[in-house]
Amino acid sequence: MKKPLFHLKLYLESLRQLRLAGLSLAVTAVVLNVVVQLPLSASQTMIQPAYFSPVLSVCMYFGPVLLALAAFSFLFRRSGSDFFHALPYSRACLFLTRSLAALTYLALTNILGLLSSAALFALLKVPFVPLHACILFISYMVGSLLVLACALLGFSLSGNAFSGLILTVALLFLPRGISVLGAQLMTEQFSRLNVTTLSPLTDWTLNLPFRLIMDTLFNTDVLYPSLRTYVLLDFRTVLYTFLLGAAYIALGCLAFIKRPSEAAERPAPTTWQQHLYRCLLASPFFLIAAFFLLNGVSWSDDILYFLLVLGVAVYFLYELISTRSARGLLSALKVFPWVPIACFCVVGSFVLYGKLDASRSYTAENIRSFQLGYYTTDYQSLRRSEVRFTDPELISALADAIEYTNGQPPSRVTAVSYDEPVLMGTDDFSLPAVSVRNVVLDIGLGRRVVMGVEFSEPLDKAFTALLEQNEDYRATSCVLPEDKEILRISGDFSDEMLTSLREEFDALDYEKRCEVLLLDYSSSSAWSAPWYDTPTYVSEVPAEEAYVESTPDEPGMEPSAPVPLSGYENGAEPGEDAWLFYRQDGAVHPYDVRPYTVSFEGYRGLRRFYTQVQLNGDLPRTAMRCLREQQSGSSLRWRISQMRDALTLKPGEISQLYCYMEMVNIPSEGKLYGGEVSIGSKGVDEQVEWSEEQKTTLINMLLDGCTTEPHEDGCFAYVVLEAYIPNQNDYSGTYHHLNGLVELDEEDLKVLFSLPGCAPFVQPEANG
Amino acid sequence: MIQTISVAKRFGPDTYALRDLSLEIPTGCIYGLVGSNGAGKSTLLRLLSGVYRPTQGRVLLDEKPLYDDPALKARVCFLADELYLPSSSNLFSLAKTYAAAYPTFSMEKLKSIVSLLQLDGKASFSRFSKGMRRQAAVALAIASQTDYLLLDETFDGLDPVMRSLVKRLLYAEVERGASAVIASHSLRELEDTCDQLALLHKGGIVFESDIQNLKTSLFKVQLAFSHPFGQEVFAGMQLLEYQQQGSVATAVVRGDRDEARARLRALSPLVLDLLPLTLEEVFVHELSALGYQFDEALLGGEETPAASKEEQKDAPGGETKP
Repeated sequence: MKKPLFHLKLYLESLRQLRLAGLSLAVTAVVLNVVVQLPLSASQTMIQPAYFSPVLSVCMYFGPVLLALAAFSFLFRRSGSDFFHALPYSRACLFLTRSLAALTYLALTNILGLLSSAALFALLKVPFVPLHACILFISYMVGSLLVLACALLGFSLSGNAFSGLILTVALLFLPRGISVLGAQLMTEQFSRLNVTTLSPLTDWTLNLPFRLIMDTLFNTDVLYPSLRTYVLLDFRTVLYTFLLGAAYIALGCLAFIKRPSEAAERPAPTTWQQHLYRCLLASPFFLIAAFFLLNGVSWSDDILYFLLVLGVAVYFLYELISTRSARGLLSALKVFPWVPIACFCVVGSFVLYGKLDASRSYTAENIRSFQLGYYTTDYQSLRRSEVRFTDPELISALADAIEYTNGQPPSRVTAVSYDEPVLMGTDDFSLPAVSVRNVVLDIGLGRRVVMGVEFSEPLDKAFTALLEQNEDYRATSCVLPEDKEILRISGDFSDEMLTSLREEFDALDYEKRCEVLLLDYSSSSAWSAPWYDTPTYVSEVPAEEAYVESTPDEPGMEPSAPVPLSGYENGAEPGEDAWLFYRQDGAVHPYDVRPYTVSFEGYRGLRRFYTQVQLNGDLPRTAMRCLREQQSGSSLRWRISQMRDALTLKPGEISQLYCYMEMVNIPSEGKLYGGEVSIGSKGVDEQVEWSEEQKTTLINMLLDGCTTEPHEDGCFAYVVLEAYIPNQNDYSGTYHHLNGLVELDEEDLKVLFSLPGCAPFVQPEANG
Repeated sequence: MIQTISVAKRFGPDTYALRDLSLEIPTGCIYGLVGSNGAGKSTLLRLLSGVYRPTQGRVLLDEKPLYDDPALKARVCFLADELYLPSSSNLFSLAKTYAAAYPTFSMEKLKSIVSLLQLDGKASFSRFSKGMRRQAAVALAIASQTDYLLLDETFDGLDPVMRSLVKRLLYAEVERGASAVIASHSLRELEDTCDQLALLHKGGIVFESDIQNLKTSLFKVQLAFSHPFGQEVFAGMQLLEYQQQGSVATAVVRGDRDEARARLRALSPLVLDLLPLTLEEVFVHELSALGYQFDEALLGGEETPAASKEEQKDAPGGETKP
């Protein structure tokens, strides 16, 4: 007998039935979105993903629950349950088709929310990236899917709205919450325990709705952009959340098929399920109490009693509210003692495991080989973890560290770092500073042991020195990912650039390679995503507030933003112009410049990696190619034209004009020079004593140069141009700011140096 | 034909609403299910409509298991005692749900029935009285034009005129070839409607028969002679009850009416009347013959109301523990 899983007529009918809830949700989301987005948009010079329809991330939690209630509330009433189960649909078809209808309205809500934001940005001429809307749509939908799946599973496992909603919340947060809490507390207790082997169970960053909540809880600013951006654009999180959502939908479907219609209006289909739900809801409190006891909290501490009372209250209140009767309290009371017993047994078993693990000892004789643990997304760490070290000296050094570890207390006051082996201090000064490495020991007969090994400072130095001498280690450290492993490269990095990078990188010696690889870089890859540099609109830097914010508090002080070209050296040769190259990531902030790096993301086997290369003077050809690319596709063009209109049409209205340039490859007498130029004044009360023509000349020259591709051997300058035009009617005004690379030819230089006060601070001198 | 074979339905660990129930519902008839509260009527209808999965045994439609089979369920329309008519909805709106589900649903037919019943199809259900809600539900079920209509307490809340109208509609359905299964706790409701009747008691069928046969096979005799007489005058006939006051005797007899009349007339009585029994009287005697007390079976006995309330919480269909 073939049972279809989807029924078009039922789907259309479900859409009709859910239209009130669905359209209300969509309209509310759009209205709220506009209300919230309006002030946010006005204060932005370019919309970051986190500021793109932030209301939708709230809808992600409430929308699916609302629609699940609208679509499946019949499960909570006998008449409704009987009616729908009597209709000629298979149960799976009924579940999946109505779920799809609910999902359709969620998609509509997200689409309308994002479109309303985009329309608002276009209306206000605020820069935004349309592609962000597509990516955010996927993220919001995947988050909504998981919440919807939890609701559907919760509803299918319960019989009334209260227990359904409670189960929804529990399914969404409880498994992840308990696993994270357990892992956290266990690593604090047993430094040797390697919880990373349990990943992804302990990796809460994988679960999008859970992660957004956690990020919000741990940051006072709810709309803190960088974290939300990272969460919403993290492919790994989105994929995991989708898979989890799909799994929950499948489980929900199964539960729905098995759920008897007579379960309606009861808190749970069966008595044992009601016992189970009560116990699960109360268990976190007892688990936390048990973990606290394990971590040294004494019975005299109020927090323990608070937790226990809370656990008891949750247990019995759930029974009372879900059944609306005191009749079941007695049977609940009979089961209750098992909750704390089970929780303390779970925690006890972890403690036992930790102690057993701590009691094991491994000597150089019984270690056949070892591998370094892989615990971050760093490509180099991943490659190193593949090396099987058999060098007796290394094994002996490791055995010394294991012996040292065994002599240490099992728990350290401060959690030690499981990342790169960095020496860590502790709050307890009686304990020496240590570093920790995760290692995988091969102790023969195919047995492998994963453990965290503590190294004292001398042990760490000796071990590191041996590693650095190891040929296998050097061969796999500080390498670029292979072409087939790379999934994404930041920026508009062409194949030619990659080839150029490989050639130059391979020509470097080991130490140099390690220098250009930013091994400790842990920033979000989302920031270097290629779509970041192509905003649709770029507005002028608005209003006096921006100027006030970006101006130092005390006169004469430089802005606190990163100072570009700090490593610049005079007398650079062609191709070795500046030590570091900088780029502007967009019109997000006038001072938002950073070292020009290129990042690689991908998968080596099934392991995700991330690595980053700094394009500096060691890689001159690649760096210059990248600069050209940036200039040719610069997102600043529109802004530059706006600046030109504002500054050159009425140059007499400019009250302050300041230009700072760091110049490279200045030709003079057949040689090339470098130098700094500072023109005008940043002081509020000082006026630039230039003619309007001179001002226009300088501005045009710089703005023209901005849109020209720099030549590898031509003269160019890193320019900071600032101009302020006050309003005639009040004390406000418009502040114009430009950071950029400017191509300068000989004519430009003549004009430049002829302007009043434009002599370079560093006079050109003959180089070598 | 709908068939149940040794069907049992259990709620909870030890609460049986039905146990070892077997019956057959032929096509083209009106089948009555009568029984006290908690007898298992609603549970049986939910099993027949595929709402419940039997704990054991099988429910078959044309010899195929009905549960979770959309094609077979499309031939059955179930109207529960507790109606699902969302307050925010109206009749024509809900009709779209039926139309999406039942391929045989006819909107024209619904409109004609709605017109006959003088209902406002566009008015919200929240404005309907109990009787109007029942009429609306019946209209939707009939408009579905399924082969089987399973109706639980359908006449509950209907006034006599509407009751008569609904019955006419049901007869029309039967003429179309459909079957209707009507469950009721009132025997009188079903007396003039059903072709066949089954009495449910404590989760099992106590008695099942064709109504016409029932009514004609049992009759009451009033008899008087000018001389003293006793039960012997009914010798050769199956006597179910006999009462005598003076020279007048009243008896309930099973058998052929004409034959009995001829035999008694031959005894030259002063008075001889052969009277039909009401269905209720027939049931009293049939159940007595089977060893049941009528009150217990049809009204649930003295302890029924209290037991029923308690057990309704455990057994969703208002069923009782056997």
